[in-house]
Amino acid sequence: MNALLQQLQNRQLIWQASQTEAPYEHCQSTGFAALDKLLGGGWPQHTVIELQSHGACAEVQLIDKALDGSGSELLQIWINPPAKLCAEYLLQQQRPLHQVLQLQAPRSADALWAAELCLKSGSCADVLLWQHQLNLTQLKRLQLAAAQGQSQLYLFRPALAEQQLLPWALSLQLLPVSAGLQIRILKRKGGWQQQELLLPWAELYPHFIKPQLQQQQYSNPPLSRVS
Amino acid sequence: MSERMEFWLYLYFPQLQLDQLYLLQQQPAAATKSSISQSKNSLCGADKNAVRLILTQPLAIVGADHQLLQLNSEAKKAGLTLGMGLASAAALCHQLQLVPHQAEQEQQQLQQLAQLLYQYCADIALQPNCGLVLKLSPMLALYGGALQFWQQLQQVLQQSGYQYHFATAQQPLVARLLAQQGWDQFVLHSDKIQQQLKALPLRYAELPDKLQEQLQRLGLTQLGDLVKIPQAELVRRFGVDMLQYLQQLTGAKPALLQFIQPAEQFEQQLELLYEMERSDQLLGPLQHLFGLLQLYLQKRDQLAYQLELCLVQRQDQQQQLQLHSAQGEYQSKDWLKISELQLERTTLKKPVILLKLILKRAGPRYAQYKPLFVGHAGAGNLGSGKEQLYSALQLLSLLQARLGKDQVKSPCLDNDLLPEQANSYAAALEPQAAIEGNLAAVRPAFLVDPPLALDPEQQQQLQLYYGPERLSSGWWQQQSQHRDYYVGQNAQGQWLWLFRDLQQPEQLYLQGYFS
Repeated sequence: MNALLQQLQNRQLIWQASQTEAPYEHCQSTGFAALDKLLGGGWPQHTVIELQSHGACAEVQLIDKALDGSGSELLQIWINPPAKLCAEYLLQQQRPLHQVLQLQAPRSADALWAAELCLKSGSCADVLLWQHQLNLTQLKRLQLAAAQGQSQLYLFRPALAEQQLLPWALSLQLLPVSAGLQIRILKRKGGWQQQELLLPWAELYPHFIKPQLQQQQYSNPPLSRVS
Repeated sequence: MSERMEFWLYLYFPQLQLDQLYLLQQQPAAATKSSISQSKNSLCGADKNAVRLILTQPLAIVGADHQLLQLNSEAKKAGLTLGMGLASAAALCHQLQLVPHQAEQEQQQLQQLAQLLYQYCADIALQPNCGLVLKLSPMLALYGGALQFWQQLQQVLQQSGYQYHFATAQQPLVARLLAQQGWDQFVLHSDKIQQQLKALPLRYAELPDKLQEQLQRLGLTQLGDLVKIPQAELVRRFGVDMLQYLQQLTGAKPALLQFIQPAEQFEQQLELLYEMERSDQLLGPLQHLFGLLQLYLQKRDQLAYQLELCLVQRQDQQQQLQLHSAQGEYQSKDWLKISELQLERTTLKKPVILLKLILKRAGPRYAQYKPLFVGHAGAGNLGSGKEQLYSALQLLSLLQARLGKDQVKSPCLDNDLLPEQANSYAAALEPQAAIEGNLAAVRPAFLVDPPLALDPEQQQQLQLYYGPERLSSGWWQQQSQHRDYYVGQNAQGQWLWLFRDLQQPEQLYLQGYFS
């Protein structure tokens, strides 16, 4: 019996409660104290992180500080972004524009191939990929490539009702509510899931939402200003 | 003594076209010998002839004036001689096969031979009537003696498979006369050469017909007789042409020769042994071509940036592929990788019979630095000591090869106020000119281009948080645009960047998404 247990443990089929703490080797701060606390230090490094949302709800803003910390001498790759990239936004983030590459790959296989190549090349720091479907083999390949090239993949996809459970290092679901962004951990390597956090909008968009302003919303701009 | 003197070797190829017919028959699949058979296309005519010609039967190459120019051994046995008219030839040997003479093709063959010999001798000049003249004296020091050099040349000539005559002399003209005579001696003693020259019959001396006749009437039969007569006398009688001829013969005036320069471009083709229908089959033959390219580039210490690959198909159709490398590569494996990606997304319209690789752009090789101490970068110094599998430029080339050149780009900022015109795309990874001025505070990550008009129902559900930020642009060009920009959130909780045009203030437009 003991031999059998040993064998199962060697194949990593047994989960032990002692594994819960400090799940990630390297963490990078997210820039949000509450989120850091929730994730146990920050974003895991050199792996694949999934961010589920229906778009335009601060999902890129969330990883903004992490992208900043990757340094500017390495490439940043955007694969199949949902719309045209705004150069002014990238310059605001102190990102040299010639270090940013945007790839358009209409075929999903091409997009995944490009992501894998960029990850393992060693000349990219971060890869941002918009992709709907992903299976276990593809995820494993991406994770290995990220570890090999010491780079990070952020995968953005819409929140789907039924999904295959994949072994993400970290998978977050982002849901905008009126007070802020609700962040829910769907899957986390060696940690408890089903934890939630509400990040106020003012923290995510400090440059245009002032905490005191949030009360005085107006639905239509005052027309009197327009002549 | 012979070291200090100038010596020339003349190679005379009496039957290039005929030899070519035999060579083509010997190796019907001479396909993979691309380096020698560079211009197979033009030889296709001869190729077709070879199919129906029987080379073991009498065969002759006929010139435009119906004279026999080249004969095979069977034809000679039948009693035919060079320069014979067609009528008498047909009378002597009725089953004689005739092939029209192709001077252009012979010239190409001669050029190929010259390119081949260029590997061994630096100064080679093409001569009229299927000859090559090689300057020996500078090469002797390199080969450590005349004989070694000559052995090397003989080996090459034998491999080429053409018949040749040769002679050496101190003047190109003398060597030429002796070689066309078929002297076939490699000697570097001027006495012997002069002796042979003096015994040369005047009709082989390449003098104009009229002059020859005049000399014959004077009773001169050998070149030696001519040389004995004082020069001044000859010139007074026969004019300036005679003087020039004699000067060339004695070497008093150096010969005017144009030495060949090897083509400074890489263009190789490879005939495939069988027709290939799938693009992945092409990789094997391509590797051979890239190997040749690597040799070419290594010798010149260059990197190739752009190649053109022609896939020649049946019925003279062809597909062209452009292969790019942003960093520049010379190694065959790197180019193979790039071409593999490009071939994957290419569909062949017809089976391929021939591959042609042309070097379009190359540059000097520079040192490609790699960090000496690579290792696992700690969490602290990310990105500084990473082990690179591909550099940024290599990565770009690979991505462009598979996705297409237009699908990979970098964003860029133009000097304009309107967001849809200020934000555009530029060539990937190219440094861009900085634009002066302060950056706007609020800009979304994504832009909608062109701006989307929102319907009233959507406008009702919006909540605006920030604004207005007014942009007035184009008033100096009569295309004035005045816009007030706002940040809003819609019913789904998405953050939008909106504007209203001051000319129609009720209408809101969606310009971008905050993300």
